[in-house]
Amino acid sequence: MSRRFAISDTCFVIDWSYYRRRECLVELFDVVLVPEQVLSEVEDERSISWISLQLARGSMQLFTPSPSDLREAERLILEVASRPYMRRIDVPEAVCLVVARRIGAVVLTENRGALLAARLLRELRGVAVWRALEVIRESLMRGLIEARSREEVRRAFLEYEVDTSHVFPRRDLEEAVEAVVRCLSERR
Amino acid sequence: MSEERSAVSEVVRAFWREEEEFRRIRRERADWDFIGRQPPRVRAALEYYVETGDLYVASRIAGVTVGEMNELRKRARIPNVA
Repeated sequence: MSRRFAISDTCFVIDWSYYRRRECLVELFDVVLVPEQVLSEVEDERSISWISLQLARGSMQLFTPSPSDLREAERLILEVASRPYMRRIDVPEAVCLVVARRIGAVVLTENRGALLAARLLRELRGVAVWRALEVIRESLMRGLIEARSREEVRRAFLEYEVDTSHVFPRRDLEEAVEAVVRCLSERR
Repeated sequence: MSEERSAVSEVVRAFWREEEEFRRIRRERADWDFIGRQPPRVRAALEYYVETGDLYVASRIAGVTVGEMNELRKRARIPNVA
């Protein structure tokens, strides 16, 4: 069985490290790649100490993008910028997208430009982009976060909002809660 | 082909509708007194974040790391809506 990789951008990992159930991320994936450019942007003690611990355990791995990854990221940035109806992307998320496409990893980001690019660009078809919402949903479905009732499922999402000053779009949240509840009831 | 184009248009329309909604949430919840008391670069960066939700570019405007910008975002009570 192939190993399950994710690659994280800065805005995701900084907030994620404040979540009280943050350990589920490194149980969900075999390795979470952290690009060097991402690590250098992390400042606060809580985030950097958690990331360092995961790097030491091998749950996360420092990733240095190759010159060709960086060239490809630059091309992707310009490709997105050439389409006025799209939301601009920048180097961190562009690197994550091109590396994820190359190695079959899941991109972890809260960047909406990256989400839209993955939905619209033919060249990114098949690249999965997950926000914290999708990570929590998957963790609940796989039992990495325990929940027995709809209220407990909802609480897992709301705790993230409290811990990280985050707001999930209400419709996305309701759909995620519904999907988890359905999955849990099918399992019983 | 036209079906595909129409599906793309709908995705794009929904995306920009959401952008407007998320911008409204950030504007409403932001602590504008805190933002107003910041030095010019940080104030401009926080205002940019309220408008776009883009932490990376905001951090470049403020001249700080993304991590520091995220702390400023929290102190200004601006939610990350995503």
